[in-house]
Amino acid sequence: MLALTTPPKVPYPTRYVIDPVAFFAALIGVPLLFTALTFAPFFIPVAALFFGGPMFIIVGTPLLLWYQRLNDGDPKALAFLAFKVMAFALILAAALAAITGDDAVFGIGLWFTGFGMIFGPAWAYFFGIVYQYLRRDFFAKPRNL
Amino acid sequence: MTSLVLEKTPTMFVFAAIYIALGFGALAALATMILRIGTLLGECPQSKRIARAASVTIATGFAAIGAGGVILVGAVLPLLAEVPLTGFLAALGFAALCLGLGFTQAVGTLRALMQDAQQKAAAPAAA
Repeated sequence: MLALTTPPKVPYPTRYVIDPVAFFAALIGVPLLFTALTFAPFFIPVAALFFGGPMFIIVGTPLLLWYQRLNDGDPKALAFLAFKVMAFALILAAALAAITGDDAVFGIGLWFTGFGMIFGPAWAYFFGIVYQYLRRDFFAKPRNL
Repeated sequence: MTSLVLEKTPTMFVFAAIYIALGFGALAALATMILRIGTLLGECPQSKRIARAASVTIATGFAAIGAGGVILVGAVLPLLAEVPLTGFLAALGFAALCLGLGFTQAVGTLRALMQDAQQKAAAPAAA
């Protein structure tokens, strides 16, 4: 009854404004930095940078511009977002292979997304850390826009 | 080899020229809109100066970052010379998508600045 007479105030979804400098510095810098820090023990990160770096920027720019408007940019949430994108890409590749009947499509898709499920979340996680570290206080405030 | 390049260059060159015209046209239009929104927000006498200055600053930043993005996306066009129309449409679509999302952020920044300025203006009156 109380809920009917005095309904709880529905919070307006908060918005964040993206700090453009921190955003692009993190988006471009994190794959490079991650590769530079991890390439000494083995060479897979270098290959991942060449194959995955362009994908990260092509998919990441619009997706993160949208996602970071609605979220604070928690590194774990960003890593899970990257994993979800990669899983969706794998489903897409499987569907495409089933439609065209070409097994090579699924092979290429699995090759890309298999490594992508490791490096995508890792890069996204460090993107969150670097972005939150670099952005100015003005952009860290949740707002009602 | 030479004939191959000569055969492919005209189509690609036309598409690249159209891409540059449309990409920078969209960028200029959006930057102008930021300035116009700033002017509209500046009609209130209290917040006039803040809105004008902020809109010029934000429009400049948007134009600079947007120009960089348009050029970088355009740099992919020669790699897709085998499929000029697909490459052209994909590049233009991606550029427009990112410019639009960036524009949303730019206007959001402008509104956030106005909000902060209003709160700051209201604070001494309340105290």
